[in-house]
Amino acid sequence: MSEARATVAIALRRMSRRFAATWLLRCGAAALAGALCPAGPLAFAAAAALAVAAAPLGATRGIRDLSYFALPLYGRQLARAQAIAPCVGALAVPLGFGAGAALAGKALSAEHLVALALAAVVAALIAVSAALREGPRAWLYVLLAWGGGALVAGATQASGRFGGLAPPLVAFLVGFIALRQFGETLARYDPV
Amino acid sequence: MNRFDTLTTSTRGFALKILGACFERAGEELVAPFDLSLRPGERRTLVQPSPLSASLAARIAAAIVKPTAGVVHVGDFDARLQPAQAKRLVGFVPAGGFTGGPHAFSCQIGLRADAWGIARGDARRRAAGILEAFGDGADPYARALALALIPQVALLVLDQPRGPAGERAAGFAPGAAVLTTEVAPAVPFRLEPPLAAAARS
Repeated sequence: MSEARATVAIALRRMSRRFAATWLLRCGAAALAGALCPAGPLAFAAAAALAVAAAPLGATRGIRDLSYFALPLYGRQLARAQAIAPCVGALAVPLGFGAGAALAGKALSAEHLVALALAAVVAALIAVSAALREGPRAWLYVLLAWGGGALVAGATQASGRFGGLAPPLVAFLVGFIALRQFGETLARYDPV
Repeated sequence: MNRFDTLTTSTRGFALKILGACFERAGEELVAPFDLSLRPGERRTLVQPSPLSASLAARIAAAIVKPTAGVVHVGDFDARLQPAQAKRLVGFVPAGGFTGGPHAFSCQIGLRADAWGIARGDARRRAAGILEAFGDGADPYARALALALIPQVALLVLDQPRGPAGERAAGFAPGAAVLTTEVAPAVPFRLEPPLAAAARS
């Protein structure tokens, strides 16, 4: 019970007023891009590129705060709690783009919207691991985040009877591995 | 590479037991191996040659940092294998105290109350009670102490304490073991010829 309370408290602590302001700003910019983007296959590609590229931005902020490491939580519990805010932050662009495109009369399909959201969340889950690394290693995780997000977005091109299930399946698999990896890294990390 | 050691002596009756704990990074020894044991109510000061070493030693004792080698037991819990249980018993006051604003302080109280499963109202009252003892409560170390003592702790770790909060901290945690770290720069050892030999030549 106290683990659930701690998870919610950490997530809320990380979603400060500044976080909300940044989220709204990103959402507004994405809505503008969605409204201006021409309809058709290009719209989804542009939305996916924006969502995945923006997901790592700010995802790593505050993760190294010493106060979190003094809490009586295991690495995997802390990882789950720390990952909520970046995932919520990553949803700003897909939601904004979708809303902007819909308002301009060029609404994306529900399947594409879900794929966009999943791609952004997966990119954010991979990107959080960059917070615990320095220099080129941190950048490698940002590149991995972009690659993972692109993989989920690209899975919408899967054809066949169950082709529609490809993005959620890929997102679950990649996201699960990324979160496990983040938990392992947090458990081993020493805040020096 | 971490070396996994095992503690072969009993931890019964100890709030903290450290055997051969050290910390290395990139081949550099930041904390030399040290042993330490503390029973409930005892106070000890651990002296280190630099602020970084002192902070690291304090964090090792508080189960926040894992030692490169050696064993740390907080109560009956191995800090490497059962970090969550070990941290539950520890109140850690970082060097420099808590420097965030009033909103951040209030959020921290809520966070710690939720993490330790304490009612938020009780946590706020306890923190306010400790801060009251230090006047206006603006002292960063007093604020960090108030946060550390929101739960009932068996071990209080004070990293390089300063001011009245550092001196009076133990009074707010009766029965708890208190470990303090301090910095005392090492005097370089100089080998000189004996005076008598020098006089003969």
